[in-house]
Formats: sequence, structure tokens, C-alpha cells
Amino acid sequence: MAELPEKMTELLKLLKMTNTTEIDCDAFWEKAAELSERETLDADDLKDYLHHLQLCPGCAEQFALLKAVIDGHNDNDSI
Amino acid sequence: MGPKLKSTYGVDDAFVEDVAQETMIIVLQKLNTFRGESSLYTWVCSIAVRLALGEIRRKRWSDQSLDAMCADDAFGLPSTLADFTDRIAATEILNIVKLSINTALTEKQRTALLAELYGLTTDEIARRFHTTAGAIYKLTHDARRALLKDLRKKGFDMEAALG
Repeated sequence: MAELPEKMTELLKLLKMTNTTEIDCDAFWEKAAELSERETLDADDLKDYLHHLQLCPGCAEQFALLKAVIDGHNDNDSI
Repeated sequence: MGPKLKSTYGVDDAFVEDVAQETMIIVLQKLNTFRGESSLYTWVCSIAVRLALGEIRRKRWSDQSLDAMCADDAFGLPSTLADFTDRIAATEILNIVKLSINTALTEKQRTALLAELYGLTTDEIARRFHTTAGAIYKLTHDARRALLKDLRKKGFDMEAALG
């Protein structure tokens, strides 16, 4: 296997993950609050949202922060 | 949320206060769109998180121009690549993909896709293109599909290229 520049490998991985239809950032954030209260995004009806997070580092970072804030809030509530 | 922002991103009280105020304005504007599918607290936080990270990214990337990013050769071969056969194979892959990027994509698609590869988030690219993150996602999604189509037409073997 040829050693490729990091950015090229990233691009090829993105292309490999590309689906014909995908959820965009605005559609993801329409549902993000609800998703952040879920334990997991593994359910079949949520796979498009999970796929979006895998393709969109910006949304993934924002969602991780939201999840951390919500989980922290819930932990404080349960004390 | 303030303490989390401060500990993770090193922002100060003034930043947190600004985000809180802006969040309240947006919450009041959008309150009629709240569907109750999450708690109100979570919904408000989802707005605040986007605002906060949007601002942090705007500052992080403020001195980087999209043109400079796209002018830079993102796909230069690693200098560590000593093996001649590997170099030939890598060069061939690079040339095919670069040709597709230059011929199958519009200038806007090319810029957005390269900016994304350089680590700019869709909301930051959207801010520079004066549009929404959703529109930029659609633009880069269309770009990826167009590239894929063109590469397939050229008989490009994605699996082999990625190993």
C-alpha cells in the first residue's frame, strides 16, 4: 500500500463514508437536544444522525460539549 | 455550562456572559419552535453550545484566509517516503484525485471541501460564505458525491488506495 499524505487519506476516508442522502448540520441540530438526552445513538432510526457526527467534526465537537453539559447537569440533579 | 466552557476552552467570564445574553435573545426569538422533545434546559443549552463554539472558532481561525488554504498544496508527498515503488504508487493516486478535484468540482465546492480538510468547521466556512452550516454541508456533500462519481468513472480503486 502506498503511503499517502495525511490530508489525502482523510479525503479518501470521507469519500468512502459518503452516502447518497445525508443529514445536514441544520437538520442535525433540529434534533440535537433530544439526541443529547439519549444514552446511545446506536438505534436504527438514529443511524443517519450518528453518520452525520462521523462526517462532521464541527457538529461532533459541539455535540460532545452539549452531552457533557447535560450529563454534568443530570449528575448534579441526582446528588 | 459556564464552568465547562472555561475549563475546556479557557474562555473568561466576559465571554460566558456574552454567550448567555446572546442565547437568551435567540431563545426568546425561537421559543415558539420548541417542540418539547427534550427538556427546556437541554434545548437552551443546545443553542448556547452552538453560539459559544461558533465564536471560539471564529477567533481561532480569524487570521486564516480560505484562499491561502486552497493555494497551499495539501497533498504533497511525505518526505519520509523513501521507497521508489511506493512513491510511484502514491504519486499516481495523488494525480488521479487531484485531477478529479480540479475538473469535477466547482470552485466553491473545491474551496469548501479543502477548507474542511484543513479543519475548518462547516459553521466557520458558512460564516465566510455568508450562508448557513446546512448549506455548506450540502455543498461539501455534493462535492464528495461528484468526486466519487468521477473517480469511479476513472476506475479508481478506493479500497486499494486506502489499503
